[in-house]
Amino acid sequence: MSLYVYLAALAESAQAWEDTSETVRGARKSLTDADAALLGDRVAPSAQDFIDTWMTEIKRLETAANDHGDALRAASLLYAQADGDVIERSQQLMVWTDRDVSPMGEL
Amino acid sequence: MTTTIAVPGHVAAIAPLTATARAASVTTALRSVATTLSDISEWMSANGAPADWTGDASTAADHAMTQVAKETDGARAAFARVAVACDTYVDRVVHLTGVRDGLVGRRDTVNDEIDALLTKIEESTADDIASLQGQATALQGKVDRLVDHIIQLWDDVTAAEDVLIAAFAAVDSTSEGQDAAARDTTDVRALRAELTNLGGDPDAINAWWNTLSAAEREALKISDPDLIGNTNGIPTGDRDDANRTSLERDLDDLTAKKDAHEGLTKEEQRLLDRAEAARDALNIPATADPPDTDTDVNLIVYQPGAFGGDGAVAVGYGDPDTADNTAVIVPGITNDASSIAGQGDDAYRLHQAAIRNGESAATIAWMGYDAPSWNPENALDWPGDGLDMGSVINEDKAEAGGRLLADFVDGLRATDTVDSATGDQKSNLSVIGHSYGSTTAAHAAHDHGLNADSLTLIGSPGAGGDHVNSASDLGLPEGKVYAGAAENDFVSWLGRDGDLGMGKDPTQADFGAKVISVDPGAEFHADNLEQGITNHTSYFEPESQSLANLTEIVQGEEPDVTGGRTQDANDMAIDWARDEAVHQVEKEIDESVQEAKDVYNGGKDWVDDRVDDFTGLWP
Repeated sequence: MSLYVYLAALAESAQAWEDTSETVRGARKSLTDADAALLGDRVAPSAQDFIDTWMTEIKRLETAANDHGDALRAASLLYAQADGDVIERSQQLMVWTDRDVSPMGEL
Repeated sequence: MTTTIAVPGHVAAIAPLTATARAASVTTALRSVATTLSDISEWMSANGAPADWTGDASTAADHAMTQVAKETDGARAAFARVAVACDTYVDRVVHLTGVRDGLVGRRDTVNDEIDALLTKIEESTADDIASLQGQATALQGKVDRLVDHIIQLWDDVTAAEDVLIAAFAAVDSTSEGQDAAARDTTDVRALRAELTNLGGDPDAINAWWNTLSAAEREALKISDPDLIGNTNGIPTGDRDDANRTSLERDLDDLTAKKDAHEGLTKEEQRLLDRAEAARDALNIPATADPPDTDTDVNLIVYQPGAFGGDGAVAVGYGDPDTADNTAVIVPGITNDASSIAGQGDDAYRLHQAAIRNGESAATIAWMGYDAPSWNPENALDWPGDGLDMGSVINEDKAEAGGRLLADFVDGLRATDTVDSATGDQKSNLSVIGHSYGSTTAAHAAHDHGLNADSLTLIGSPGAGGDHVNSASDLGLPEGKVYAGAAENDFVSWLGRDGDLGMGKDPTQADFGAKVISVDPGAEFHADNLEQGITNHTSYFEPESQSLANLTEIVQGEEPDVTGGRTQDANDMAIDWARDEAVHQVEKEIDESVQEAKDVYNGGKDWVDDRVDDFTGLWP
């Protein structure tokens, strides 16, 4: 109950990171398909250096985004579990008629 | 006594450049990566710490989205930098390849002249010596000039390579990318707003675009490829750059997802189908036999998600901004962006025919409107439900498409090169509407003042509504409305007078169009409807009268014309239906008298239905 909105926000951010990871993966494929040799014998080595550097960075961004999404999903599970336990224990201690009261407007 | 005549030696072979125009694919890839990074950076910035954050700096610095916004912006800046340099380099490579081809021709000539002189010397007498020495000296001068030009060529190649090498080296680390981002002062949002404020006026947009710096144009192509690629008034080459960026993004996003064995949604699969069709249309010249690497192919419209997912795509063979002759081909029913490769085949065939006179041409397969998704194979379903044209006879999509077509043509006019001698626009611009596309083109002409030099309606089910009674109502220059239909093209039997339907048959003699000669197409029967479809879709076939005449029109010449139809189009349909019932009955009699009776009864019912279809379609 008290963490409901928070969990939704976590899920939303997790989804954003996952989408970002997927989008970066598309960019990585574009870069993988770029054939530096087409630029000619003299240019190709410089182009390949550039591609290699940024391929590493793009992979890092993709992995990081994916990890951020995973971290938020994991956190969300932990919070949900914790929230459930707290709610159950609280309800056991609360006035019977207040056990399912909505928090809206009570802040 | 021996006399020596100094004949220059052969000029050595000129090696080809190690880069070719195919290097443009690298530019597209770099730009596509830049676009993706730009999208991510923009989203992360919008969801990161605000620029005016006054709290603890470390809080913002530690915020992941804020951090990624900065990192991706650095990467974006690096890719943008090299994309511009690569684009310029490829242009240079194309130019220098042309220079090299010219030098190869000169080398062949001068080496032949050297051989000829050597032969002359072998056969000469003492009286010829002075003349031969003079020829040898002149030839030496020619060789020296050629060698100078070859040296200059390789100097130019090296200079172009050095510029690109420097560009790659300048941003081949993440810190250099960050520096490039910090130096980048282009305000993309402001440029986007300027473009939007021009309200879609193609002339104003073209004038504005020409005031931008190369860096500003590149920034917009990277940040907003979908906008730049599909805005009328932006030059064709820039639209092509932007749309290819979007195409590559879509192909790579979706194929990477497929490769990872993640299922595509229905919408994603439709998007991928259209992206692949656009790619196939772009590849038509390169995959021709023999491969054509000379034709400049342009992706002028790319909106794969438009019209509820049917998509909008236009592919041009040749550059309409510089071509002597330009044609826009408007397809009809059954077509959407997924069929652009088939339309591209027709356009490319017309292009190849149109350049045979030595002039340049651009032919555009324009699937830029929402054509009805009706399958003509169901048109004469025998012995099923019969003609079901209800979904086609609605002109709503032709009217909406007419506006889009007129706008697109206005865009071509805005970006067309102006002839410096006459001040006129250079390109002779023809619009060719096929099938429902002819109705769309007629609406563009009548409703919106289509700014074309000629309009041709082929296989037309009607020339656009009840306000077009003759060719003169279409507003084209006098004598510049053409029409053509195969005698056995059943779609061309739908045109009729009156308020309903899709308008008059433009091949009627009294309509006033110049009716071009077209092969009649083979007779067809209801149980062999493929032939009927073939008759409707063969106007661009090689060696056909129609293709020859369309070529003449595109070149600004007069085609072979006939007198036009004198029989009402709907009567042709009714005649066919009557004949068809008899044909079907006679065919079945050969098999069984009893069956014949059944079929006759069925045939009678069927022909009655067909007559009702044609006569009752428009009460």
